[in-house]
Amino acid sequence: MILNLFFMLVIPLLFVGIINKTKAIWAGRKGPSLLQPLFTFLKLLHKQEIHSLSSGHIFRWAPSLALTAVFFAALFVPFGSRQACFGFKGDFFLVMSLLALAKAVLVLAAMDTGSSFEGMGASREISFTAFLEPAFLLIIGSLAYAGGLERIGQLFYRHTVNIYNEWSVIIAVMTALALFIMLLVEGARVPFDDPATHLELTMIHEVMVLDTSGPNLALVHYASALKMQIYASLISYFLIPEGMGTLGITLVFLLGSFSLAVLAGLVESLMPRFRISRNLELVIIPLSVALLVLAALIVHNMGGF
Amino acid sequence: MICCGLILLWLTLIPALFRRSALFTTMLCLASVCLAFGFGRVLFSSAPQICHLQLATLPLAIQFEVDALAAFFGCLFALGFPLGMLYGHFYLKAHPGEGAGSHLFWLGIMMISMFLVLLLRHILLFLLAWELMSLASFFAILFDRNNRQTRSNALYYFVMMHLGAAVLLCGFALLYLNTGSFSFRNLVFAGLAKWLLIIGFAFKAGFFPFYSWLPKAHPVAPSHLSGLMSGLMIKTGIFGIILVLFRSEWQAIELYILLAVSLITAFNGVIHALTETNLKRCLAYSSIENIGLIGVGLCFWQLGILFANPLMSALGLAGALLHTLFHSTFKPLLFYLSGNILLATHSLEIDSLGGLHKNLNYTSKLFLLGSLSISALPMFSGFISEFSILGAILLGFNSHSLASTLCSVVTGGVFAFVSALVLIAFTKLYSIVFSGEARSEAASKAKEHPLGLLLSPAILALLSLVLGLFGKLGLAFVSPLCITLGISQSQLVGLGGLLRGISLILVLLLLVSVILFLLKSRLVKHSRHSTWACGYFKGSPKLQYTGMAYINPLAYFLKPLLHSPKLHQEVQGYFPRELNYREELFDYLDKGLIASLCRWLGKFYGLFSGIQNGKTNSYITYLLLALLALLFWVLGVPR
Repeated sequence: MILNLFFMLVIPLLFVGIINKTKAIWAGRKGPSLLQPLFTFLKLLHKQEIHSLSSGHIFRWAPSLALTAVFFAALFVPFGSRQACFGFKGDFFLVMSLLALAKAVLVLAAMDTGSSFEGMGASREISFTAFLEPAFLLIIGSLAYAGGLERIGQLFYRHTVNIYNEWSVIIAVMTALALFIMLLVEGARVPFDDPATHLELTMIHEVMVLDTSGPNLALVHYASALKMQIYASLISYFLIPEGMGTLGITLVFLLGSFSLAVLAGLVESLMPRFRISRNLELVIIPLSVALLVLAALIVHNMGGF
Repeated sequence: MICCGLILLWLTLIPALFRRSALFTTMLCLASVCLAFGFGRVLFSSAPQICHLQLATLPLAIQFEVDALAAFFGCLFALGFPLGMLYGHFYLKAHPGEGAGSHLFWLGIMMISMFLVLLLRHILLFLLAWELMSLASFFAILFDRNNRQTRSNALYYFVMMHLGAAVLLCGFALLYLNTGSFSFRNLVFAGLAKWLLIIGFAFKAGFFPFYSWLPKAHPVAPSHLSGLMSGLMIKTGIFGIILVLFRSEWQAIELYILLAVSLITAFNGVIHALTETNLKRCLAYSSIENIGLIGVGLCFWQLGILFANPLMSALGLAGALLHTLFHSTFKPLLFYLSGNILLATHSLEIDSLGGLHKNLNYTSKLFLLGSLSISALPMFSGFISEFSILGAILLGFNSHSLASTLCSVVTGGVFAFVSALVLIAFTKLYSIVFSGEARSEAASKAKEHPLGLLLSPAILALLSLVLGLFGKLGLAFVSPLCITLGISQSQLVGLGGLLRGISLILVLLLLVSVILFLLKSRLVKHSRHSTWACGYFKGSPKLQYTGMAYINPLAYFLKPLLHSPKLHQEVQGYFPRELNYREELFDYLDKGLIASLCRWLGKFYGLFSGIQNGKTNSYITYLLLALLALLFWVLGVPR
């Protein structure tokens, strides 16, 4: 439990740091320190906030609620120990809805400023939900199909990649692929969104928080990083074989998360950003992958293969 | 107690005739308290009550039966009516019309008939009450009778309700022919009759091919009535459907058909709610979507019984009933608040509103609560019911037959898609109407209403929040009915334990976020500045994102399902002075199927219109022909 909380607080910003460092090294630069996102976070906490004249109450409380919602969602996901802090059968819907709550209040806050840029970002960001929610449900559905509906952490922990069993590889690899794409979309990374671009018209997440400043911005950044880390830790739990000791689980978890960060950094270095107007078509990929896995499992179970 | 309440309800018609709105509301509240107590006692003691009413002049004994099903819906109505009328009283004061007296009278009749529908188990009397309900609500809609749109839409509603009633009549007639009894207290519905009854009730509830009256009737009705109709009256359709489902045997294939219809209803409702630009029409489409979700829950209830999966059926039924309960809190809330917006700005077109959170401070906050509830976000009520229904769906993933597995998978995918679209639709609705800057003169000059217009929305919003935080409360309300409908106690106890855990987490979440917010606002200094507009100083409100723009990324995918003809002028000359642009949403069912059916019928009847041409000589000719025909017939008949 304490381990979970500790990693939840520490790792997310480090995750972003690793992505940035990987990008820098790939580009031949030295790059900022791994802890730079943490320094930025701490610095933002000391700044004062500027609120838009058009905005109302939502703009003020949305970042705190968003962060709390993501944090509570993360409590259901194991971070480096065998079990998550909380959990019950079917808790994935709560996790999914808490992430949706975080997104909804941030979108409402963005629309509250009355800026057309932020409206643009909000509209793009929330459109992704339409395809990511069914994808997440189907991923959980296919994992539950193979081993019964369990806690979300257990679902991923139970499925271990075992090279002698082709079905475990299929499930794990395909599902991990879908989740990795979801990580990139939800974390607003290239190829779906470019956090480093300088043109508001082509941004999604960054433009949504254009008017957010100071501690509010820090909270939003942290929430976004934590959201990415949730997906990353779910993926890394595929690698943990059942019956491993606590230290082993922690090590594999850390290794998995950091290599996913490196992978995300590599994807960012190697791929250009997709055209914004076609983005949504590509967000369907996790949905179709999840559907494919589930279909394969059903056919297998019915005696097809 | 119930009889006492009903008699009080009849007595409310007297002040209604004298246009005493305040007295009417007070008496209605009294009657509702009586009824709520009566129904509540039946619901929680779970012993059905039967009372006979023998009228001396009629050869017919009226029998009221109060079983748990009637008591559940009766409780909903008895809680919803006084809140609606409380709002209605102040709404009518702020928006006086010439037909207030008759409006109140018909409202009273509508409420009585809705209770009677629940209580009567005699075919003829039930149909009479059903008919009275449609008729009374039709007259009540006609409050704003000088408006042409109101008249034509009310008439549309009237015709649709009668089509439904005709189907219902056929179903009941068939039932009577099969059994020879006018009472359907303990009948088993079978064969064609159950389908006819389901279809008849589906007209009222607003299921897929029969929903088109909702988006027409709700926008023209006064807001308290739209709230009552959408929140409570369509629930009589759900009541009927539960009755039929409970009393009949269903094959798997039949249930798949019902499930498909429910899913189409939900999906179709939500995509129209997403694209609609009229606030009340959008809410009406969202009611259709919610009815679809309730239908999904009910289908899984029956599927669970069929596959001997008691947990699935418990979750499905509990989810459907919870959603019925929650929908009748947050939907009236949203309709009442849309009435507030209408009174303040005289417009319901969302693209001409905006920035109302400054002027309509309390209205905006309550509307936000309603939107979050309907979007099924945790901490708000919609979440609890969708959680339960989704649980039922997931249990179907691992069943033994391919058909049911596939059906659960498809349902799960569509369900998640629909709930995401609802989130998009309602964030759009809130943010276009309330956030940012005012898009029109009227919106910038809006004024907050007095307490009366905010009181019942506030109660409903509070209820919605409390039910969302403490899901166990809602479950305690629906569980007596679940047990009567054949769900075992142990399944519900399991669900209750789960909901208690969830509410603990959600309360903690609320506390932490409030503490975080308070800490931050205490410690952090802030200043105010105009919105960043990329270096340009102070953009115009017209530059804000509009409703259509907000959903544009998705509209690309929904294009084949939503046809919106655009009317715009060609640009002429180098310096065009003005341009017109109009975009209207096209409902395939209404404008395509029903309108062309009507045209076709009109053409068919047009063939006979020459018969009555107003000329005396042709009428004399008809007489002559009739006489001749009679003569030949008499001569031709063999003696």
